[in-house]
Amino acid sequence: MKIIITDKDNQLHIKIDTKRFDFDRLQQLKEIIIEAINNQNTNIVLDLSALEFMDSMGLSFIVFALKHIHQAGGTLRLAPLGEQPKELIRLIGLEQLIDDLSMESLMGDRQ
Amino acid sequence: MKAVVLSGGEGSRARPLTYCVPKPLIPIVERPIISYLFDLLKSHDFNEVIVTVSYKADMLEAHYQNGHAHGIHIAYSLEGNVENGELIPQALGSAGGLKKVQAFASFFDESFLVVCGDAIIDLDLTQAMAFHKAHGAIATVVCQEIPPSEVYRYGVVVSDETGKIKSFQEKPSIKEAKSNIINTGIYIFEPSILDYIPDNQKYDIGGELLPLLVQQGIPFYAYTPTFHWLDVGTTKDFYQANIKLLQGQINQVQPYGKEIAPNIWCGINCDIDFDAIDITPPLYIGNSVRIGKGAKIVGPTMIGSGVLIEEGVHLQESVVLPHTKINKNLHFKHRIITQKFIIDPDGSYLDLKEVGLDFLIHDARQGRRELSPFKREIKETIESFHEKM
Repeated sequence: MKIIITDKDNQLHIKIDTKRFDFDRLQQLKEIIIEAINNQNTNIVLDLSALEFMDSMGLSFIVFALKHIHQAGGTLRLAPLGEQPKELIRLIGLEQLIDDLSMESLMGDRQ
Repeated sequence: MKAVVLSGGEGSRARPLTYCVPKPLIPIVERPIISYLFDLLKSHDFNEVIVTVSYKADMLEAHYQNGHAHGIHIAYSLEGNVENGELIPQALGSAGGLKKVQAFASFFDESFLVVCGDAIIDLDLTQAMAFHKAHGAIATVVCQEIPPSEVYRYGVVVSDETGKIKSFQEKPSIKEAKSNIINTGIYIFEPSILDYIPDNQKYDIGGELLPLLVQQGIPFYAYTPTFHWLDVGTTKDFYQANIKLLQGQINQVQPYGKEIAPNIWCGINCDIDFDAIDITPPLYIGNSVRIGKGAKIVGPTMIGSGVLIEEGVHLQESVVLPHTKINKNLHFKHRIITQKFIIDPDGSYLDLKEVGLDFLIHDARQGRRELSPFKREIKETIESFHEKM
């Protein structure tokens, strides 16, 4: 699992370059989110586009990030997801989550 | 009279439903598809029935045994072998299966009916048999007229003005189709048809046997009555069959159970406070179902026996298979929900165990399990999003 963090235009872009979430790295990922919030970086884009398979762990990470960033008054956006993660979220009935967090809706906000 | 029910297929297009049961045993409003067929056969005096079996053959045999519960005689013809105590399926195709039946004890000694075990039909079989006898041909193909826009899914039959079949087209494009009359896979044959089927090999009726008859100039006819034919080939078909049955769109077929209000059927031993839930018919509720307060159920919806629906659950136009527990405040629309899967009728599905979400929906008979903090967090988030829906 490779984690690439870039800070541009007052927006923290966190790319998690992995096909599948690794449970051992989940804590580290959560710490990255907490550290970003502590450093006042609350405008975050989460890029999980490389993810080919998402399970409850991946979902829990998105939920964790969403909850903490919102509590800090920030904004979380999701880069477009792959087919399986998108299907998981759709079938579980969280289409709204994707709609709310997608980059497309961010662009809509800016217009 | 005699009939053969073809039930050997693996049902790959109906997965994940067919992971657990053979397709003929998939329940449509809590009755296996093939049970509706046995009722129809009995009502038209087809009382000697051979079921060709292969995939999960033991389950079908155990369920129907010798047919006594349906008041008909049922025997089975296995397409496959048992090796080291394990059943190895080896489907022979629709025609190859008939040849195997005949090779065993010359069962076919009069006109006989062939139907697929995965369709619900309300065809007047007596009239179909009368048509066959009046034409005196070796075969009658029961056909159906469909909208031209759907021909690409079926085998198209081209016949002359007398009904004599001239040619076939297998799943033609809408542009290329020469007719909108399709083969339903229901046939009436004379025993002499077996002379055209090769021994001990896979052979298909629609794809090989009937084209051979055309090629050899042997006359046979299309019979195209008006009837309902619900082919349950896919998960979408399964979903629609449940919905259509609840909507009363299949003649002579009603949900089993007590109709407690117009278009609301409810089984026995249910724990439901109807004043504390919001329901819109048509709705079928099986036996021993528990529905928690604040639940909202919008029909057409089918809730199988032994289902537990917790408080605040919303279900709309959905099919919930038996012994499924849906945890509180979850909302689903247009879904098939089983103990193990959430299925979109249009094709995709979620294996709840594979993605670690089997704490949301699972077997209702499973004991209570303590959730880890991260699973509790997911559950609460999903609940809060569903509440906004």
